[in-house]
Amino acid sequence: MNPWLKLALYLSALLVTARVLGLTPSVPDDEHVAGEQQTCEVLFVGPSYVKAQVLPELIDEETRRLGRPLRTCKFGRTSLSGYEQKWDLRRLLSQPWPRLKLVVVDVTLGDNSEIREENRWKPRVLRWHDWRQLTWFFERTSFDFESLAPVMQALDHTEHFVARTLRVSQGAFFLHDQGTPPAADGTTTWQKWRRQESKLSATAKEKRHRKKLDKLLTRKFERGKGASRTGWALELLDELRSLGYAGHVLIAPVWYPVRVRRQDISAVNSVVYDFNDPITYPSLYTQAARGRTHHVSAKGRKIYSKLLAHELVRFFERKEGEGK
Amino acid sequence: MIFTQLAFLVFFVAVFVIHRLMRSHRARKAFLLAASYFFYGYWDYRFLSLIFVSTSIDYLVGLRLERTENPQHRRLLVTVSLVLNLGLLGFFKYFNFMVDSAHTLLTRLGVESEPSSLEIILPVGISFFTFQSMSYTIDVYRRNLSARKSFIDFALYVSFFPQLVAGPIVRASDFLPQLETPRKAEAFDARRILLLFAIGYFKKACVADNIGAAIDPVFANPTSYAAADRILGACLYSAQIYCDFSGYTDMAIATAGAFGYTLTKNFDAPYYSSNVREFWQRWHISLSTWLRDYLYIPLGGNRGGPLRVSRNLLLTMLLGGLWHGANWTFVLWGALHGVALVVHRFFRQTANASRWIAAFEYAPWKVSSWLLTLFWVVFCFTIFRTPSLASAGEYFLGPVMSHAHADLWNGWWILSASLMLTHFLAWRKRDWLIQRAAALPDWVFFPSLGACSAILLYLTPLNFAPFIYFQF
Repeated sequence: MNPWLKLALYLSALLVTARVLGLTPSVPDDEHVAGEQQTCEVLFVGPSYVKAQVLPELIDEETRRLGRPLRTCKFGRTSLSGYEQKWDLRRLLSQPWPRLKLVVVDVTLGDNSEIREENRWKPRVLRWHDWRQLTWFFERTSFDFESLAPVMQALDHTEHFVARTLRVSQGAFFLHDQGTPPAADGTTTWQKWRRQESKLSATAKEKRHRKKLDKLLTRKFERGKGASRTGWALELLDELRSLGYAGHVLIAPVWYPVRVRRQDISAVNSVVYDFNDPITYPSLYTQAARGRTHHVSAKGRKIYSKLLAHELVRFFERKEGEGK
Repeated sequence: MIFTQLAFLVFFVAVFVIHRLMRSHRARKAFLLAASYFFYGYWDYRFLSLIFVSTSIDYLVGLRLERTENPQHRRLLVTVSLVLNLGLLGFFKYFNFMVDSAHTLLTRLGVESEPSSLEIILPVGISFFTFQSMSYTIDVYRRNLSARKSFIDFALYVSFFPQLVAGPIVRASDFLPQLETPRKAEAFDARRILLLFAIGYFKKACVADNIGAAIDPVFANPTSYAAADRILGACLYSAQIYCDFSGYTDMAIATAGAFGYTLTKNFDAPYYSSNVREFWQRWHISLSTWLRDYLYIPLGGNRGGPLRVSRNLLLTMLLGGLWHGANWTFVLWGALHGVALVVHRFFRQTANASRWIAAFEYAPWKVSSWLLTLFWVVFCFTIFRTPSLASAGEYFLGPVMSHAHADLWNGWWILSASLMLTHFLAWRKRDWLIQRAAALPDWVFFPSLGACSAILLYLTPLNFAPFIYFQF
């Protein structure tokens, strides 16, 4: 038999079997917002800065206390990169949200086409990699000889696309009944961080905190420094408008400087909540409010959620005042 | 780059195609050597110099040994090789272990000392290639083998990529002659190679990695799990390590076969063994025969009285345990196997001399001895898997009941156990199965292979766990 015919027979059987196996159950998507769809008025969408730090119950309670009750909900995913965020917005908002007034998009991580290490091979990332998304990636990526990064990203996305098409791991995920297998030693990065932290003295922690704060303060307000998210924020706001929803932009209180040009956002009738600012929000940058990496601590989460509630109430009161 | 990753597939296809297009046997070998160095450098390019230096010195020592007849010179040369190889192994693998152990001992004795361990990265597969390289110089020293004049041949023997990082530990006398004659195209049996690779892939990716993902949390935090979870975890670990390592070996043999080379058999259904001696004749055969030929026999082997033989057995197994890694758990694992070998040896000798020998042929006895061996192997592997002796203690003496729920009982493990059973049955008939499957007509074979590939990919977890033996 002709070798090409053998290859064709092999590949056909591979694809047909993969297609059949694709009919078996797969890991359910962690769409924890599904239950909130009927009542939610303000939806937060973003990476772990939303998933772990925005507390809707606390925001609702605070808005009630401030006399302008709101029902909020969130859709947060670990290291939600730009390429996924837009897709998630489209997917989420294609469902009916009868009471939704506002969508707050966290743009801290920006428009990143790279598959982050912690997300590699996650079911949700595999699910993203259909033909439409892959072509979208290739259309918006410019390949030049200056950098290898786009080529590596293209390989990464293609590999995920192939894995999705061939249903790689769908059975294994099903066997484990969980999204992702644990780390090789079974410990979480959080546990490792806690162990490392406990070894540091109070003075060392204080010194490290001071250093980070000084660095952020210097870079945040220095012209030309910090990652600009203006273009990405405008793209997401445009997407939201096309879906029929009003959007606001959120920047989380991280340690690295993130910038969004307020006048550009105001020009499209939107608002920026920039918490990446230790001068305006010093309570989010105290030592007690800080947690692992760029996240806030349990105490920080409460402060952050209350501050968010205040910003939302201020916005809705102003809007309602203008309406009158 | 591990055998179950897409990167390896790309690498393999590229090397295979270029190798096939080359005409000259010498050029092919040089190309395979370059590819092997690329493969090793892909892990960490900094260690390329290490393997190159180790290879060069053993190559030169081999040539010198061949030229000189002076016994003192010969002894000096082989000592240089042994000191160098064991020195490299000792520094990279055992330096911190020895420093930490000395520090702990001194602290316990009440002597103040500062811990002074270095940040040393363990080069992948160092234990395998140093043992392989050492066996060459010892064989040349013993005049069992003539030294190789071609550096490419010797370097390829040490670094041949299919077996470079986790064996089997190939003997120079088995591999070097294969490099002398061009590999014949008709010797390449693509179907057998594909099937063997698929079997290895199944064991490693579908069984071992799935088990690993479920039991790692149990071993990381044993006191959070109930005794039943820990027992199941221990049994599954024995299945994992076997499938992981023998899966790697199958894939290594298949990969080497694609270039026309034959590697040593490393496993022979070890969990069917009815005593510990038999287990070591079936488990990691290339290491156990290496230890036998280069350590146990030079120590005196079976010669001498019972005490001397016991000493030889214990010492060999202790060093065999230590070969696996710088941890007291490996030492204890080796020691326990050593003790079991000594006990078995004297039990057998006593029984042989008595009239009870006939009872050994009865089925109940055979089943009992098989179960006892399996229990011992699982028990020892549990110590082997735990990160420290304290952790091993916690594993065995942890709470009977616990509120924590292990992923082990979610039902999937039944499937894994069935897969294991199927595998064991297939093992007994493996060669027959491969032969029958390879003889199928094209229109049946290739679609079946495609369907099997899809099922294998479907069951592959995407955490890409490296092979367990890579760390040794």
